[in-house]
Amino acid sequence: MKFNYEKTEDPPAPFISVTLSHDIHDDHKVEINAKLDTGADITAIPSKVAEQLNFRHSGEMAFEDFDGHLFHKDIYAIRIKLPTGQHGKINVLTIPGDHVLLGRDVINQFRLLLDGPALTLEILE
Amino acid sequence: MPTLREVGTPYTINPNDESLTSEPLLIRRNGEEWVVLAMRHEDYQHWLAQKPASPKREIDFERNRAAFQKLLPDLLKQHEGQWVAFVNEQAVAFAPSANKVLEKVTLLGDVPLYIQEVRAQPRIYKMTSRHIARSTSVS
Repeated sequence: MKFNYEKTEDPPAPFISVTLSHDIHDDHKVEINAKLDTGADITAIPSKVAEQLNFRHSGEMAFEDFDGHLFHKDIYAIRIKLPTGQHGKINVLTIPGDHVLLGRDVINQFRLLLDGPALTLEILE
Repeated sequence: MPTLREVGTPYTINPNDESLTSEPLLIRRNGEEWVVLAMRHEDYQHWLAQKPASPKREIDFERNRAAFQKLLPDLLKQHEGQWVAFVNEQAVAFAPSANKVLEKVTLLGDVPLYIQEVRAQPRIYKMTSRHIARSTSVS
């Protein structure tokens, strides 16, 4: 399954579309773009989506950001479905913005081919 | 306009009455006015999922977190390095990761929970993106 890089990012970046829903009540879903972020230990979602779908507050974690600052953030339980059809329940933190940052907790489940010159991302079988 | 009906004696509501779904039904009970809403079950489930977290859920979250902190010394003896889920102030599931323990408590339904790793000091996770907005500072 192959996807084109998002060219509005500078430089272009690998994105896929994912579907998010409440981890128990999955009858209401949001389909949203997700940027593959190999620097993120944990997946992060826009806070407005967490509010919209009323995700369950499931805990808290300590984080270190890009400049070494330590902070705590709440985590939320969600159900995520990928374009491959695979799905699962994960804990995520919330961020501003309008797209998901897909961390290695999800990315590491797949074999991926990032073809920079062709600006394509392929999820291998 | 909603119709005000006195509930002095039992009466029957016809589920096919379209006015039930087009407007709320006002009734009087013990001198107080009550609103009766009729909606499809699917819409009701949607409403349940959409309604904001109640203060009680956050209180239950804090109770579960306090129970974890209280029991942490004992948990460290047998479950160090594992993740635990607390529900009703009880440790109900253990697993090697936060996501696996979340899967384990799914059968309990939409209940307040608290998931945490059993460690003496919390693990520090890395988020290298500049998108991350800081919340509570550790130091």
